[in-house]
Amino acid sequence: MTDEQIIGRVRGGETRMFGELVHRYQDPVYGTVVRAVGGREDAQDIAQEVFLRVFRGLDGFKGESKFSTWLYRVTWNLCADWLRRNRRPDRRAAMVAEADSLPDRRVNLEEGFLEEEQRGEVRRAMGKLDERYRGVVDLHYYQKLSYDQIAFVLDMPVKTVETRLYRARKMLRESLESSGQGGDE
Amino acid sequence: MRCAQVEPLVERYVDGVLQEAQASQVRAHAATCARCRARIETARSVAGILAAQPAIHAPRGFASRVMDAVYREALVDRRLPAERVGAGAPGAAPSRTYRRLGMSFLLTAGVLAASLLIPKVAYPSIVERGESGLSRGSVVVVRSALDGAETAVRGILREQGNGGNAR
Repeated sequence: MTDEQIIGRVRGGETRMFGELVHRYQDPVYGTVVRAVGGREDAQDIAQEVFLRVFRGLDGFKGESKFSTWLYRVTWNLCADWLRRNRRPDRRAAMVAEADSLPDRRVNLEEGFLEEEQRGEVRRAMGKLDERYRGVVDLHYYQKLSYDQIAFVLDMPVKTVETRLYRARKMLRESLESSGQGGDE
Repeated sequence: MRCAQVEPLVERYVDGVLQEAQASQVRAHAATCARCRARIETARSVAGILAAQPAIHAPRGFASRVMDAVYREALVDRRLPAERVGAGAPGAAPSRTYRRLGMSFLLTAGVLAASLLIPKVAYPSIVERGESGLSRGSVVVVRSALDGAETAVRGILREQGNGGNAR
């Protein structure tokens, strides 16, 4: 069943069907919030509020964008509000690094220690990125959104999305280079 | 091409989105420049690491908690059409459950309020009678307060009995 079909049924009175959407999107929404605010403590409350706002706004959703794109827009707006009220970048950076430091089963042991060090450095550097850059990186690499979709979510021109994404990657690369984790010369 | 010209193009080169003429210039420069080769290699690593970040999972029970909040909201928000949680829809069962919960909450609040009010009303009367203990007057006051509370609780119960299926 597509998101749009589920929305139709919720609008038709089947509140229970909203649970399908929650199950479908709880991980990406929660993941985005954890990375944005840098902690699991507040993330649950914020992620719950995301779904409540979406439920309240369902009647106003006109389908001009995909449901998922609209959902990420609500998610990111709530995260941005939270960040404005709780601006503690040092604490946030440390917590993002911790949140992202979950063991990745896809890491092949043969890839070795150096790559794991690089991953750690990228996570740390991600935590230090300004939220303008972190947002585009999260939406593009973690949520697999296109530039057009990110432009809608963050309410900015597509060109700005592209520029920020490349700047963010350049900053991450430079941080690897300066930590000695870059490629061999 | 020089290093300073290659450097801003490294990420786009890695993504393969440069024009072919520009890409071949970067390639030619990198063939003779170890530093830019290293930059390109690092940029590839960053892209690979970003693309392979582990997913973060929502905590166990998160979806249920969200749906509890959704049903609560549907129950209290008068703006929602009644049929959204009303009879006939699959959401009807939770709606009834929450109506009962709301009534139980009212009942508990009534009992709690009575238990808090009684000592507050009765205790000063008891103390006023002096150190010798309870006089007949203070007992009357306490009994009267208890009767009042009981009447209040009965009233709440009766009201709920009329309004729905709390009992």
